[in-house]
Amino acid sequence: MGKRRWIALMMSVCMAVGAMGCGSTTGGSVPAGTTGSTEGTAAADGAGQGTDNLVRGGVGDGQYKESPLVHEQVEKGELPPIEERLPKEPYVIEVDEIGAYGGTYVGAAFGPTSGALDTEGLRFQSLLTIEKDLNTFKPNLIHSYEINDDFTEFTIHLREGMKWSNGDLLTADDWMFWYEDVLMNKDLNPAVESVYTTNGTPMTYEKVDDYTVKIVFAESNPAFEVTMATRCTSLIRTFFAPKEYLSKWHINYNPEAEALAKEEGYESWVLCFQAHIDNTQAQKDTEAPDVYPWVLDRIDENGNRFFTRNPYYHVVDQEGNQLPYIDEQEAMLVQDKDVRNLKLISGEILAAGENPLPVADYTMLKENEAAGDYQVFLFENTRGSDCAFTFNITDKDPTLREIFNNVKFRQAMSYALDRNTMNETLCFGRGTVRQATAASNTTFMNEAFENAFIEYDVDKANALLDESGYAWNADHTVRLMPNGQEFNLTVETIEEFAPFAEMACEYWTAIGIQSTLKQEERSFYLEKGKSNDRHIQAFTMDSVGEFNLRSTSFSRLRPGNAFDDLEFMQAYKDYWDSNGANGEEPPAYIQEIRDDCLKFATLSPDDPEYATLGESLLERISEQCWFIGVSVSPRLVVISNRLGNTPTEGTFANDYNFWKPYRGDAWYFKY
Amino acid sequence: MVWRKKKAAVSKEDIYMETQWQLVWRKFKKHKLAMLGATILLILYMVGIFSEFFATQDIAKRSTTAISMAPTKIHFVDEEGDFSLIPFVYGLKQEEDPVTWRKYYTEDTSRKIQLRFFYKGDSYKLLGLIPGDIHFFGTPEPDVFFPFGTDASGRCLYSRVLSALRISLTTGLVGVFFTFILGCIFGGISGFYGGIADTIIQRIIEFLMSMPSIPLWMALAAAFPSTWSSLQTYFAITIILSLIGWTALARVVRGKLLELRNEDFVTAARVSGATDGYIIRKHLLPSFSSYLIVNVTLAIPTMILSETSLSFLGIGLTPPIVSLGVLLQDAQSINTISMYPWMMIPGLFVVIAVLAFNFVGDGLRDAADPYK
Repeated sequence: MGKRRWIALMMSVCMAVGAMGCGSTTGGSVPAGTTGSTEGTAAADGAGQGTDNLVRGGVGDGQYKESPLVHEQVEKGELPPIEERLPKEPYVIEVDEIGAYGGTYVGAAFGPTSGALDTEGLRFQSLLTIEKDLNTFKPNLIHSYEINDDFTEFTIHLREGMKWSNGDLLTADDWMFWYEDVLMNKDLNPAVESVYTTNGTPMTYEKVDDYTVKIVFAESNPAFEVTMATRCTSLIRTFFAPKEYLSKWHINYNPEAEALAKEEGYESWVLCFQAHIDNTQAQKDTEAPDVYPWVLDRIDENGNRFFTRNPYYHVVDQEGNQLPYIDEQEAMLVQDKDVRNLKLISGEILAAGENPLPVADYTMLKENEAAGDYQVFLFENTRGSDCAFTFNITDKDPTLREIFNNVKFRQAMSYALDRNTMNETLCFGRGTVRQATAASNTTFMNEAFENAFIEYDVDKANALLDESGYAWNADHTVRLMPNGQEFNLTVETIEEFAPFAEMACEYWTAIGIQSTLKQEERSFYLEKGKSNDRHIQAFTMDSVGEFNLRSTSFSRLRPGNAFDDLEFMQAYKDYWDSNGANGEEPPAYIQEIRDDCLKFATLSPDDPEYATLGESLLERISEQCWFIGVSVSPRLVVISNRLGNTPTEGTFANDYNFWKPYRGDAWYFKY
Repeated sequence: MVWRKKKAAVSKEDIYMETQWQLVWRKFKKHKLAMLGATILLILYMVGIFSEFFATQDIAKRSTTAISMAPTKIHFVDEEGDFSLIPFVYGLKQEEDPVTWRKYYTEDTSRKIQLRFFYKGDSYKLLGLIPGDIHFFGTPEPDVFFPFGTDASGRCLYSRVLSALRISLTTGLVGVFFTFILGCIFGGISGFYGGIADTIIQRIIEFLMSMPSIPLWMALAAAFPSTWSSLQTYFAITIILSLIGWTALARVVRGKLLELRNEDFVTAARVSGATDGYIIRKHLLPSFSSYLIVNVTLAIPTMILSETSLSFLGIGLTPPIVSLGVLLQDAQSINTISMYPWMMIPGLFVVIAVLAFNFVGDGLRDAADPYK
């Protein structure tokens, strides 16, 4: 306790020092923070009270048991009995410990409409689960599914009798409504996302009966299983939507929808409908039904969001206790990671995994484990590299373009980095040094790709640059570009990756490629990428796990799909995106790699070509040395000791929806 | 006057003969705090300008064996109790806690390293021009002597603070220089001509003063072309600071001019055919130059603080440029405060520099009008 106070005191002293001369802005935020924390304490206390006399298991005499809180409502007649609320065949999961009901789980939210992974990730459910082995799927929101031999037809059997959180029945009509009136409605959804398409053609839905839907693709789409397991939230929801609830805002069902929208203060029915269907972190409608263990209940005046248990949730444990065990979720707004760290240490926030949670914070968090009554775990990471560098090969500057297109130059830049020292200085030496390529647990990964051009070899780097004809100037301090000018490159990045970029610049300057770092504001940085105005960029390379490689046609490694933060061939990307109308036509070898990436998406892992093509692609991409990586650090995951059924090891990565394999609905309060 | 009684050695005639500035200096010397402030400032500026020479090593040099290391202890007495006139430090051994990964450093008493003046160390270019490799004080042995400790990537904080002083303290000077010019021009026009010009300028001033400064800075800082280097951004920031900071000075100038423009000597000059510019420059400004100096001196610390705040918030200077604000940015996390408190040393220098300027300003204000 003493230490906690001391830290809080020092924190405010530091803030005061920093805020000297700028009283108004920083001063204004202090009361807000204070209010937030008092409320947080109240909530935490409430959780304590609710779990004082913990009784494992639920109330009920039948096959299924429920939370005492819900049971009370049933007795008062406010809710139907549990047998009527659950589907005919609920999803039964095997939990490690039968939990006790009650409590409020609190996770951080870095913004009112985003940055709430530590509550969202425990809440969202998909059609299929991702099991802890990160390889198998089990039907979750659906009862079962069948796939035909050529992966073009997916027959989905719904859970009979499954209900939305408002008690409405969930049937094939909700699926058809979402498909016909939302996904394919040009007003609501101008472009169908690529995961729902094969080669540009959207999937089609067929209603077989009330509880069966057939999804048909024009071409083979074996990765659709991954999509079913990973897609969970979207501005227009995924796969199905509550037809009964939403119809009145849809022009096809209610001719008065425009008038209704105006009445609610929206410009058009489209905006109004979008506001009601949205179940992302930005959800506004607190009435909107859902199928998650907790549903949005209220948003307080500070923007903190509260989610209350869904009495119709379709999952029970092996003894028939309806999940979730925990009554309520709160997404508590925090200013930044330091405020979150303080709240973790004070025990107000119960788990954290969302970035920024750098390895550099490990020592501080670990030393305060007793104070915060939590434990810090190191989870595996499936990033390609914590920080990767790319050189713009379609640079607007012709000299730079020529240089960046020289593969020897890129290799030299890779050899010039002393990755071990970077890892030692920036990641406590805990990272694994590797080249930026697909995640290391990819089945067709070959060590050679991870180790391509990563040794620290200044002589080799210099030799490659000499071969390329970039001679030193008279003083032997800087090399000269083909146009006779001295090298003076700018590496652009955002604050998070500036330390990596700063060190890289030092190493590059040492081999005569004078480089300086330019740290930019995030949105500005992304904007510059889209307009092809960056030369060298540094950013994290994630989303390269096998799931993503399968479901998004080789993800970031596909030419033209390096994402806005690392894109290095924007002119070609424009060409592909516009079907040749804009941008520049890419050279044949790049086009070929891209075509093969698209082909890869049509292969199932059982297909013998899957591994061969995957490996061949990685090899070709690796030879190009387009992405220069440094290392991958483990992910920090903080979980309160008060919580049970929580993981202690595993992988925490975007590729696997972060928390999803660790089932938040089965967590419970031990005390 | 008190000082005249005390110093009988100075005859009345001498004092009558002295110029205004000699009188100001005489009075300023009496102000002990101001003299102290002036001395400190002189030292800070010297150290800042010649930071490469005073630093113990290159500011970008990292050592993996000295990450987040506390300030090195300087010894005069060794293990055996032998006293040595030449200070020395012990070599350090790095150990790591296997659970928390915290790095501990223990002194290796078998390695005794003496500190020296004027040793040959990392080579540098003084002010970016004069090459050299002689350093003021320290040891040529690498990775052992860090007077202020090191940061998370093993860089010498002492050397970085010195380098930051140059940037931060000159931001104040450069910024105030522009403030001074802008303030005099706009205040001069406003006060001397009055009427429409006065109204317009005063409204602009009120407008600028009413705006919250941080959002305004942020907007301006975001407007910098991305192609600018860090150094260009640095100059742009000083100019931005002065663009907003000139208003107070302009008001003082205007007030003084309003008061003076109807004085007889101004009328006399005008009757003699002097131009407006001439009157302002030769008659009006000199008659309250002491006020201006005080005002300017007191404006410098505001500038330094502004730069520090901007950089602290991440919208001012950014690495690789090192300013006190940039260094303090690293000290923002609770990580630093709970485990590496020495990272807040740059803050101490902000306080020292600001206090010193305020003392000097105080002394100048007292000395400004020696005839009183």
